Amino acid sequence: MLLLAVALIGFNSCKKDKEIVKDVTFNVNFNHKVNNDLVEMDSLLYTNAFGNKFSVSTIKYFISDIVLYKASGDIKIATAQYIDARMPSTTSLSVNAMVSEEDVFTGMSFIYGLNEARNFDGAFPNPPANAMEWPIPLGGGYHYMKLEGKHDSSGSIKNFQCHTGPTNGNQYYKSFNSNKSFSVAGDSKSIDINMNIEKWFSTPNTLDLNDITRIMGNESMQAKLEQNVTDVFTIEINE
Amino acid sequence: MKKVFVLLTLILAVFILSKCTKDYVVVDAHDELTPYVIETPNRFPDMPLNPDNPLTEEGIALGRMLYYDSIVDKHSARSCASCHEQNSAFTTFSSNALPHINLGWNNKFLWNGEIEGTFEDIMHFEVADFFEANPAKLNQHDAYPALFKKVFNVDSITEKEMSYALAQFMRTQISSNSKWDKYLRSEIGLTPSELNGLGIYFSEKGDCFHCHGTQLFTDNDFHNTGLDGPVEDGRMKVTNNPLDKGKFKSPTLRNIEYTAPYMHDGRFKTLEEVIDFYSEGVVYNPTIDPLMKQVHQGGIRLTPQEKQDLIAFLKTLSDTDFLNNPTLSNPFK
Repeated sequence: MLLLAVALIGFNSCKKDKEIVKDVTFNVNFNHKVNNDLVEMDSLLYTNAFGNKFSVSTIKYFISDIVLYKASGDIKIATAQYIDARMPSTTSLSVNAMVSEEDVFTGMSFIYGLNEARNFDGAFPNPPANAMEWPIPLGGGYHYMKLEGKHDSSGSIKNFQCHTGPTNGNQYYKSFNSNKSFSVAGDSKSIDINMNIEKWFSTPNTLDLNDITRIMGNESMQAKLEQNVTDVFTIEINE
Repeated sequence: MKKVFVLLTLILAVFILSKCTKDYVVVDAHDELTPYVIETPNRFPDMPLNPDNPLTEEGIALGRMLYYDSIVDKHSARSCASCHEQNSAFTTFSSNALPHINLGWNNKFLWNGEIEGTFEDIMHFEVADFFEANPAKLNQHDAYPALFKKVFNVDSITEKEMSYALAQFMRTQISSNSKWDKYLRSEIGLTPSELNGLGIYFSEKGDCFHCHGTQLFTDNDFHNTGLDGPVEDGRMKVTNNPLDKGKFKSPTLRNIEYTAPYMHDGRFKTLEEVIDFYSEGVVYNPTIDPLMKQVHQGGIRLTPQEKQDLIAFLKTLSDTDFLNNPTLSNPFK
């Protein structure tokens, strides 16, 4: 009896010893595309669903609450990441976490923009994110995004400024979830969060860039863009 | 009679000594330095500091002396204060020099950002390239060698220590107590005209805030605002990127009431001229900033009353405490 008990204890101990926990680097990359290709900034190359020929000069935005889900405990990648497509130091981030080889991730989520808990005056006092301030008379806090460029309007070049953010007390941030399960075989895992810029203006609302100007107090346009953002971001979890 | 003469001589000597100690603090090289801590004003970012140049009371005082002393100039013809007078918010009406206001939070300096880095980097440019300073003049001075020895523990003053001292002083040129600041701190209210102007400034009607935002009232970035006339190189001179043609730094609008003339070339003498330009005078060019969204109609099209209101708001950014701050004034007066 005693021998059996000792054997059982020994067996359990061995089983526990075999569980390998490793330090894994999670690399999250933020890519900016027009349809399938990485955007070429400042080039009047693109045409949206409405038919506007357009270029992009500025892409600055927040992605917040990036979380990877697994049964043994979720991993928070970032609470709020400021991204400027022209600033390489902001377009990727790396986080290390201890992961068991037996862990299976059941998905991930993030928020486009900032929710009420994160979007308040003074939350990001330092540059470069502080330049995303949303004016106090318009409710305060921070822009979700500044997407700017030029478009060809009947032969004349005009500017557009797609600035989104909380407007008149209404929130237009959006949660994204992926239920794709994955595991980590090596010491690192790469995840791409892709923004398809053209989708901002196409689905379900086809938008004319002539109307995308002075929209910071425009609740109707903010609501349309909130609807369109549903198809803007895709998640790629790379093997 | 002889006693009276000796007494008068003594009094005169004490008087001269007291005057000297006002200008030049007599120091012992072995004295300890007094650390100085910048208090971050309400809603301001953290000021970038240089661990190689820790702020001290003595270093700041030395930098203040240099700021007002033409000894920094190769020809002893001018000092920093020659183009940066305190009563003009540290610029001058006779030049288009950028004002020295809250520059401690900057990392790209001059109108086209040709000097990028720390405050020590821009000060080294000013000392070595602009003033073409001759450190030998300081090394031969009655007071400076001991002061530099005390602050930087050097036996021979170089351009580096001169730059560091100036950087220390200029980090204290902080303006953060304007009517606007007091309004934000709920200490006072604004007039109806100022509030109307605030509404224009911080909405896309005026859209001033995108380039002149945060509590620094600048985004520390470069923009082409559609000025009339040939488009100058601007930022392109530094980056060689044709897309940067005509871009110049957004200056802070704090104390804008006192920092005329305006624009990188000083073309506008009054705030009224500036507002008229943004209202009706904007001209399209290929690299105009996307934020100049009303360029197709010449600008933001304000009514005369709206222009007055916007100027009323801009004047709430005036900080008379800054303009009269004795710790920033000429120590030789």
